[in-house]
Amino acid sequence: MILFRSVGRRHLDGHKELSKHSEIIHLDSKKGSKVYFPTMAPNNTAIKVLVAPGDKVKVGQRIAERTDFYVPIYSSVSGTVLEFENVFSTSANRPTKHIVIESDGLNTPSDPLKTVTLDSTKEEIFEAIKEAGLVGLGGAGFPTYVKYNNPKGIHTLLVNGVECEPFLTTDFVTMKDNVEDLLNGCELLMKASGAEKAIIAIKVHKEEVRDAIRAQLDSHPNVVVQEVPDVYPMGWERTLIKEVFHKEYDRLPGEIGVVISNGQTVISIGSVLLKGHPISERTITVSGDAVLNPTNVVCKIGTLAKELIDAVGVNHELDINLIPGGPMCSKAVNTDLFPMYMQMGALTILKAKTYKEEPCLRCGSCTHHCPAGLQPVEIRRALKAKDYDRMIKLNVMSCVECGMCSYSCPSRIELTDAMKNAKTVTRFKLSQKK
Amino acid sequence: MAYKTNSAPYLRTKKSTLQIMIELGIALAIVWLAAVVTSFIKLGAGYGLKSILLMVVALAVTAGCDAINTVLTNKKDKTLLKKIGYDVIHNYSWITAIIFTLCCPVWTSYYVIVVGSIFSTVIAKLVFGGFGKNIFNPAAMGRILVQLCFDMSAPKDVTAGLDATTGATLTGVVNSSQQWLGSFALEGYSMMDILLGNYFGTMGETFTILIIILGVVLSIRGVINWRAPAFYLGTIAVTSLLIGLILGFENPLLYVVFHVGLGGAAFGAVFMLTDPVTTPTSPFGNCLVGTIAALLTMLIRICTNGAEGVVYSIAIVNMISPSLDSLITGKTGDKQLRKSLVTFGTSAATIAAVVCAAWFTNGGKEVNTINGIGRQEYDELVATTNYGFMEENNYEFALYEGNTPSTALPTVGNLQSIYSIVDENGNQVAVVYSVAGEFSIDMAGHSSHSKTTLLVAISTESDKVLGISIGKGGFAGAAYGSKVNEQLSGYDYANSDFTTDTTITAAGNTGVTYSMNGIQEIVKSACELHVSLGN
Repeated sequence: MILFRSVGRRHLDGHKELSKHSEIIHLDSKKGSKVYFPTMAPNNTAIKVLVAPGDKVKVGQRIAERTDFYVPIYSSVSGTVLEFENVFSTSANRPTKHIVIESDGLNTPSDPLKTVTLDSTKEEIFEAIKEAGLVGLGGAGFPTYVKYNNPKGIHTLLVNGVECEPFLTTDFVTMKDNVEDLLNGCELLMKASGAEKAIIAIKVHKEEVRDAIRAQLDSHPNVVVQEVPDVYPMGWERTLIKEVFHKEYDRLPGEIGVVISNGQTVISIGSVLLKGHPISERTITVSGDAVLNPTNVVCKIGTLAKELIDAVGVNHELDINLIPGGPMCSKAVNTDLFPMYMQMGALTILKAKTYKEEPCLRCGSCTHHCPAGLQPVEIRRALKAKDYDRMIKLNVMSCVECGMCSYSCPSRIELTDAMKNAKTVTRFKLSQKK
Repeated sequence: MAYKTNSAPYLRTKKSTLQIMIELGIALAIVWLAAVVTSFIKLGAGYGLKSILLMVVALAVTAGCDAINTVLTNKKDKTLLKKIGYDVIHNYSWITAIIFTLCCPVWTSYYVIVVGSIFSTVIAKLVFGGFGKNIFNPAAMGRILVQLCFDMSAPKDVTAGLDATTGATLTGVVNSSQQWLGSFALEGYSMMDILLGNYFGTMGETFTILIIILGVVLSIRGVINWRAPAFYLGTIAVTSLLIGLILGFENPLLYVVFHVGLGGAAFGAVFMLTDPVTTPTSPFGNCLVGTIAALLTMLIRICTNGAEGVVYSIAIVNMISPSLDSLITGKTGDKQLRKSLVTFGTSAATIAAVVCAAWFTNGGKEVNTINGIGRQEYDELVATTNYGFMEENNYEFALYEGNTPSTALPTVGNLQSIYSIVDENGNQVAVVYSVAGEFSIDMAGHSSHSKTTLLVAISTESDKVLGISIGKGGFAGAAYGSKVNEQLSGYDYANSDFTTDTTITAAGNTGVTYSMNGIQEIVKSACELHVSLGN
């Protein structure tokens, strides 16, 4: 009953028009430019490095492998491996050791991977996804193949092209220009997961993408496009599944027979699996109110953020927030010398603002808008009172740090920070209990 | 250029707490303006100006309290002046002042407003730590204090001028004469009068429809949460409708309007029960406080007959709000539905209990109503009215069981109810017609035009008027013991030459004489009705 449930979503001013139709900038890898690859995975496990300083590498050559999940990492340029360097890692939020490759400017390709066709078997497609080294391109960076490891009872593949973070248009631009790869990717993933149909979810007001896809749907009868409301956080998989299927699940969408993948991931699967070249480039939105020419930039994976910022130009007189990702979820960093990983789709650069915090008036706005159905105001109080049992009772671990509570707070209270702290404390307490 | 690393998210909503409070203030100002205009029109320039000055005084006093508090807590601060300004605005005591003033009638003395403002700001708010930390709604606390400590009834110049029947306020009358349970004398006030605010009460509470419209606008703009007021007024409506139906009122709908419209229910719901600081945060919790407060209001009104059911119930739910917040944990999703079913099942049971309470308060008998809700309460009639001929003959009042008219009396007066007078053997000897009407009274030299009720007793055997009593609730009844006149006894309506002004004397107050113009019309009407009913 909607009477007692929080709304859990809210329309935000998207500012998408800033970069939606701007001319895309292509950053070619010139001779002498460098790309960086991490030696540590996002969950702080080590990555097995397969090259040494001085080695020559080609585009698409395997240079490292993740050890927790099997994920190969391929070079995005051809050139020479230099001494490893400590640079800032956005996933670890501190400087970590990175593989450095200096480009020779030639982009010599290495041998292609084993390709598949649309008629290949389920197992062949799964192996190919695994070898392609793809991670979720929506930002989470979770290895894609894990979801498709012979799942049971899947009836629908949901392609998430919602892109609900303000300023971001990378999904919009990529999906509009790569409809064929998108639909091929859908077919491959449907086969891999055993799904009977695929639903491509995009926001309303994205008529260009919708029409471009619908124009080619004749040859793909099991794929449909569904428009979803322009609200945040529509792109979070729980919110999206609730909107599309009117169902909720406990832990994983597989429980209700749905497997969900990001739109750009599906596009990459369509192109990499059929053509055999691991992805070496990525479209990145560089936008925000401090950017002079907000647009989408196509660059080699591992390029430093500074090169992208220089390409679009930034207002240098201001104090700014440099945010690797969207402005709602991601945390601003204090340097522009960090590499763009495969899963990063945006740089948002905003004028820095400071807010004066007022006392909480307990209006319940945060509770009302929380997409996870939590009560941030109560969690913050429990955190202040150091009442850990109550924080667990309040389901604090279900928080996804979407930023909605801080956004909607009229008293400008840093609720998301409080939620993050509460999660850290609770995680520690839970681990002690075990 | 510098890279700042303040906290995520980097976009914030434009709506601020200050903006919420300003919008709320604008809504309250509209209500206040309506009150000022009403005071000017109905009570003249003196009270019109007073309604403005009361607000100014309350605002000045609360601002002063805030400023003193800031000075005392920040003695060594160099930017003290700036800080005082910030605190006066951002403590939002001015909202408290406006709500508190609107909770007081326009004839409230200035010192009462000063005391109430200081109490609500200092004791109910600043002592707890200022805005956002108070447990009780400060305005409700101020209102309860002045209600308990000072006489809030209307002075003579208000009552004698306009509203002789309704001693203090309509709510006050209903309250003082045990009439929350149905049998109140609306005496000339229609349903629309109640809804539009065409009667006297506290400054803000009377404009029910205006307040509800403002509530809808504020809800749409996201300033207040609609759940608490909607559930509050809804539960009151459902409960009073059930009481009306079960006790057999002729017009239960009017009884619903009576409960929703009077006593500041709408004002309390929209402006006090929505105070976010003192109510729960979750949607479910908000629904719950609305329901609980409504049931408490109904209980207070029916079982104790208190006019302050609204503020008391709000104060009580303020107390249980933290408990509700603790109770409602976890996700605000469908899993709470089960919890809510249990809770609302309990609420339904409580509604039933309230109705039962109403039944027993009423002595377990069905209410014999005629002509809408205007039933004179039988018990009170017995207690306060006494005709001389009844004492002589050992007659008693009884419930009337004869023919009832289908329409109201023509031309003048409104038939409220009919009673019987029976002899020792239970045989009906006379019928008492309770008729509301308008006539002028010359009360010991003070002339006034009045609305009141006459109780006309007509013999069933001889068709003679045996006695006339001025109805209860009016000043005559309330102030002079209700034992009124004997002089018209024996009036033979059939051979009437009843044209001159009639002088009647209050039985309990010898020496005071009323001369009443128009009374004969009402007696005539009663006699005509008596014949038409075949009594």
